[in-house]
Amino acid sequence: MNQNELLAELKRELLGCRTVAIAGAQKNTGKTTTLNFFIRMLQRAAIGVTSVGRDGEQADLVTHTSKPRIYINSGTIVATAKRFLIDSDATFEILSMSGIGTAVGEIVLAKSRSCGFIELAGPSVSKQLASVCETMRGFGASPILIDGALSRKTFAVPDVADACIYCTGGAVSCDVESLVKKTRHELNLLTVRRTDEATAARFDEVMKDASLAFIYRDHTEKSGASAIGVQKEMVNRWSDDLNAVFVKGALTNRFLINVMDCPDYGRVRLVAQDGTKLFFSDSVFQRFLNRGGNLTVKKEIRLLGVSVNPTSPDGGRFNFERFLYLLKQETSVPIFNLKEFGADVIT
Amino acid sequence: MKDCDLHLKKATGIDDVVGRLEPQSPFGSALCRHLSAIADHRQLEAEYDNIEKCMEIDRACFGRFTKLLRQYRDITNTMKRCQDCQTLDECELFELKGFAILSQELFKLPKPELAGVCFCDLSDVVLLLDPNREGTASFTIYDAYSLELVEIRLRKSKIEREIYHAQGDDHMLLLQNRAAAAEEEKQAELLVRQKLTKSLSFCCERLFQTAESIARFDLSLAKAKMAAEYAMCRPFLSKECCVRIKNGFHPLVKEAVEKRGHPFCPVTLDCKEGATVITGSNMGGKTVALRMAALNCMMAGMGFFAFADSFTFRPPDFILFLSDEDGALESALSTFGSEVAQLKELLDMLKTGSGIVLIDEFARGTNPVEGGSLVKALVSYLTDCNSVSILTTHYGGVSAYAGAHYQVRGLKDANLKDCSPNCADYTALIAEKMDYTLVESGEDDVPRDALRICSFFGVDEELIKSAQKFLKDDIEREKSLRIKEDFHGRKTES
Repeated sequence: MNQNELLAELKRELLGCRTVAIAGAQKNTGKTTTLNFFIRMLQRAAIGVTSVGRDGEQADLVTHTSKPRIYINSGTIVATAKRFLIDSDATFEILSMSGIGTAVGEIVLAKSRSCGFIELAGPSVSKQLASVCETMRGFGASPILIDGALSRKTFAVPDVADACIYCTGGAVSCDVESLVKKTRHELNLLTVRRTDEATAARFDEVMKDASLAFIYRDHTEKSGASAIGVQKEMVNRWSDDLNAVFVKGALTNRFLINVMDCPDYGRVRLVAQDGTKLFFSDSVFQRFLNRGGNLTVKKEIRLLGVSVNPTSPDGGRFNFERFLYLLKQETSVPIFNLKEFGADVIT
Repeated sequence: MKDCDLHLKKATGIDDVVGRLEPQSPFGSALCRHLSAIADHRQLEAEYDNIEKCMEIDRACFGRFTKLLRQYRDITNTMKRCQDCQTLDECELFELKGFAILSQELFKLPKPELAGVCFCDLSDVVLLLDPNREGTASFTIYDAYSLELVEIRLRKSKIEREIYHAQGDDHMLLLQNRAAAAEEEKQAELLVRQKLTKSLSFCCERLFQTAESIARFDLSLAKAKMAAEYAMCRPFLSKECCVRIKNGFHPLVKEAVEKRGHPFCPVTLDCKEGATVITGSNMGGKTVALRMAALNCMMAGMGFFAFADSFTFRPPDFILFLSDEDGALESALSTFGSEVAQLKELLDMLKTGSGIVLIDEFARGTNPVEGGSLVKALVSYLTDCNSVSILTTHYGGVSAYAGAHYQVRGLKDANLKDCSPNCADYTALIAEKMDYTLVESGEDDVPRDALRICSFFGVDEELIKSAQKFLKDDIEREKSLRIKEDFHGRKTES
């Protein structure tokens, strides 16, 4: 499949989604360029755009590198802070005021009546984001593209989005081999497979009022301990009757190492919320899997593609072809280099 | 806020009770936060009328009103800015449009005529903000506002179409042209906004009046809902100074009691000008009766219905609740010190007008000889005042100086011996055995249930026996003293 066919396929996929999160390995991996590209690609659809927190500012507030601006088409439904809506050079029809405040003012929902540049500042709380997306959908926005403000993969908000685009590039590393290794690992974590239907339903039920739960053959024990304070509990509550452990929140290497200390650990199913909560290093995770570890997630993240920016903020560049060749051996999702389509994106 | 007001609020729990109101609009909520006593009788009657009329609204209509009211946003600041002719932005114009559309809908709906509620016709405001008569709540600076704007937007849109296909320098040039056109558009929009703001500023008086009417309507609906939920009664305003409560209750206490599975006993009180004394056993509900009376007087004075089967009062100039609870910490005084400070305030207030005074076990923290005398003096002073005073006390012989005396029926007829003395939940058992009914009493003495309650709680028998002996001695000493006094009295007379 050449790049054009790949993008046509991606477009079809995007149109089939309700909400797509654009997540990045870190800053300057081309999230905004990716968003701009999708906006351009879906220009005939009534899409919605918003972000988690603030994004789209002209200069990067952290690294002071120039950043691409977000350019929307006419008929796009936008959820952003009032200040940015008024400052935008697009013409807007105000649809609704959300009542959700941000540092730059209340979040307003509006439909563009012309093209134009806009800064995005959406809700940073997942619940509020869900409510804003719901209202946008009520106004006919589909799909809704969510930009992640701080380029962290945790902000992919799986609770709200049903699919995700992962952005990586020269900002992470310009050494192709190491970038491929890192990307493969991140994708492995992000796309950990889903647990079975019954267990997922059980997870929802049990974890309503707990952050950690031990599912034994004939009963369930809940604990309020945070995922970080889990170690002690794991050792104390581990028994032959233990079938599964449900955990909410972020999980680190320590957690896996503790599990591996327990006898016959492959027998116990570990269930986390979703792939964005996993922060294991490559070596520890591989060791866990190789020794028969059983880790699944309640909600699987559907990865639509990997967007690659082959340049780094300090001017470095790597060989995209080589990267593509190597990563393709590891994953089947579409990998694309937006710089090749740069002419289509207005900045 | 004065200390005594804070004290009254705490004692009655009125904030929690008023907090149960469910106003739907931000205007109604704001009004709820600033409720105050209404002195004018006619205005109070009008408030009660409003509640009565709202209670007659059928369920479907009530639902329609609450649904509409719930959609309002607080746009007081926008209205103020509009009134000052500060150019409104698109979002503010959107807010005004939403407000006008909702109010217009409310204006057209049939509703009861309520005092202080007058919805204005805002069709001109709606038309100003919906020039194409689309009937939608959304807002944009419509093309219909300015021909110049139409021309600029057409030009800008043409550039935007070309921009995608241009490359290199052409692309840059088009971007620049677009930026210039966008700037022109902003200027033209500003002119439109200025004009709109000016036109709207002439409607501000009606907008404010509408907002005020929404608040009052919303509050009346909320009061009516509360009145229906709690089976409250319309207060009767009396010309004479009195507080008459038939089967009154405090909703929070009632709920707590019923939650524990006990039946709640409502309280009936008839207090005229002067002092009324309530006596009764410990845990007999004297303080609750005071709180209930205070709460109802406050609520009725603010234009609410009362928590009772019937309630009559004369709206007082002031309501005071005097007790040694809580006050001490804030005033950094001892319990008795705090009470005395409150008493001083009370005596000053009594000179200024006719009020309702509620006093809970005054001077219980000092020595009983002086305390008793102080309470007797206070009761005889209050009996001569043109206020309604209700006092609870454990001191004997006080009621002789009061206009009326109520007694909690208490444990009198209950047989405590049947109950296991080692039962875990004494409070629950006492609540079960206690008769909280207040009865008018001719007796001058106070009921003596304290030792019975102690024994019921399983306090050491020896201790109780010893206490009973002391009590007997005291009573006998008192008797002999009285006989002696009588003898001396007769002797001097003769």
